[in-house]
Amino acid sequence: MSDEPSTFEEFVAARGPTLARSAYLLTGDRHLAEDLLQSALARALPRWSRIEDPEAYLRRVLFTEHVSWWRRRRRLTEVPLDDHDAPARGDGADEDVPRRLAVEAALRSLTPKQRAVLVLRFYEDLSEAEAATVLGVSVGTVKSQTHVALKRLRALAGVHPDLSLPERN
Amino acid sequence: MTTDVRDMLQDIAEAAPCRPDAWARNARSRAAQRRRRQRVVGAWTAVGTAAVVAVTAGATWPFSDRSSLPGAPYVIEDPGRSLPSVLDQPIAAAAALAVDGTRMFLVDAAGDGERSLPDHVGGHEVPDEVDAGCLPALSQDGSRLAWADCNVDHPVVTSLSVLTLSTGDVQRVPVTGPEFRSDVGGTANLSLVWSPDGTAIALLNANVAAVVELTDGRLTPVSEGFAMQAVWSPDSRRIAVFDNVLAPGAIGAGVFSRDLRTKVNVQALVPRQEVGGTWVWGPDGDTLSTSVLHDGKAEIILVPADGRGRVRRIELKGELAYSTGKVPSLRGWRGGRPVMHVFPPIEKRSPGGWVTYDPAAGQVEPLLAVENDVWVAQIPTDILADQPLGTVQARPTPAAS
Repeated sequence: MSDEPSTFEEFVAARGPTLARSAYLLTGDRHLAEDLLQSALARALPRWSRIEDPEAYLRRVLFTEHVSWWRRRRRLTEVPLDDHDAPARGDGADEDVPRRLAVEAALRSLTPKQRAVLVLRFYEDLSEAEAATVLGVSVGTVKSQTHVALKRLRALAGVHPDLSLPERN
Repeated sequence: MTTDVRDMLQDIAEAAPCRPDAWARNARSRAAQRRRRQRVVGAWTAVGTAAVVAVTAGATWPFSDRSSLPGAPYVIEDPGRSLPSVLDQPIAAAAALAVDGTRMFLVDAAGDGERSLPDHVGGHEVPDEVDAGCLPALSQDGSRLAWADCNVDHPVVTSLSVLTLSTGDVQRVPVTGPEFRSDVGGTANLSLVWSPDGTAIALLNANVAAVVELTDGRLTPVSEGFAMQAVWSPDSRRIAVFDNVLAPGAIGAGVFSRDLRTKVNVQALVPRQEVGGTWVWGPDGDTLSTSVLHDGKAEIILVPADGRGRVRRIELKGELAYSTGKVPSLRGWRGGRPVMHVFPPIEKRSPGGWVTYDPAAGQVEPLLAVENDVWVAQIPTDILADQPLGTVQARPTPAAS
């Protein structure tokens, strides 16, 4: 109990931004991403001293909660009105803006689970087996959903048609 | 131009918010709130004709003015009062299943207050909060409550339990057939959906759906892959399963016959990200309906359940015209009018409330206001559709000493 608060705060300070980026990719909305992350953190907090790998635990909660939100429609059934509420970035990458917006729009057209599969495979860099474990689905499902999602991204946003990732052990 | 999806994801992720101090603080606040709810949150319970009215001091659009609620007394729970168990004080039927942080409770449809549920109800015992991923389910007439017998250590559904609220009797139905898990990635995630005739229950764990016949416990898988919602037809002869794996720009379902042997694919050409709510069977029994955002306008669509014919649209006007930034969620039909769950601005962190909507006049009538920390998980379909909820009155809560 005595060192638990600092441990929790230190963890959030160190790893929170990484988890927030995943949450943002999952939700496509800054407010929802923060809400999703804070919900996962609040869920983990009472068990904090008993969680062996907080980041793995939180990542799993993030992804399963994200999918569950869509289905259960508990508190956040809304579709964000503001599709482009991200802060403007002026780092000389303006030529990438249309491309990024196209990908963002394409991502929003995916189902929550297709987004989750893509983020796990191509952002979190997990293997198909690892992604399947996080989502609680079969490896075959991850493969099929990755295929469908990439096909849609190719059609809508012109992502690389030959993109593939080597399997890791 | 082609691009690597990995690079683009990393680029997009750079726009993510970064406020770790606030996140830790808010997470602590939320966790503390969950612990306090059982003691400090009063459940506002509608009586007489069965509605739950939970109103907070903060405004929840369109319920900011309490005088706009239909009149008649509603009873307010004394904070911290322990509720009688439904096993000790049975009720004929429940008007709602609600969740108050750590506590699930039933609202008596006859207006005799609330009842607590036995600790083991729900399958997953979570000491510090009710796990929304594994709630019990009220039958559509509100007379029975079912849950799956499983938990995080034993996630395979081995049996269903059915509590008859009028007697307190619990019937255990062993499940036979293919293995069905109640968790997804180690997290409880199971929904039960009663057939209207009360003879079967659909199970969903977000990935797979199945139907369990209550007469013999036989489990039959409905579909493979991402079953997000299941909706029974009013006559219990069909079940629509929304697997969400469709062509781009379409939403829809597989509508199965009662014996699960035949299937009709039903689609509507509406971009999937514009769907605002859950699906419900339409008022005529021949359509599936939901709310969507179409060309910037919120509307209800009604899709023929036989996969043929035109999709009908009902534009949501007036107070429901997307003014809060969220598509109102269709929850059912009442006298031919849609019942909508409306949402306040996100910063209010509230589920908002339920209203009936008159498409001709573009007006809403509040049915149910929901306080921030009370979640009305279920209202039985029959009660939502038939009972005269509009005569509920209210009186203020006594101050807690």
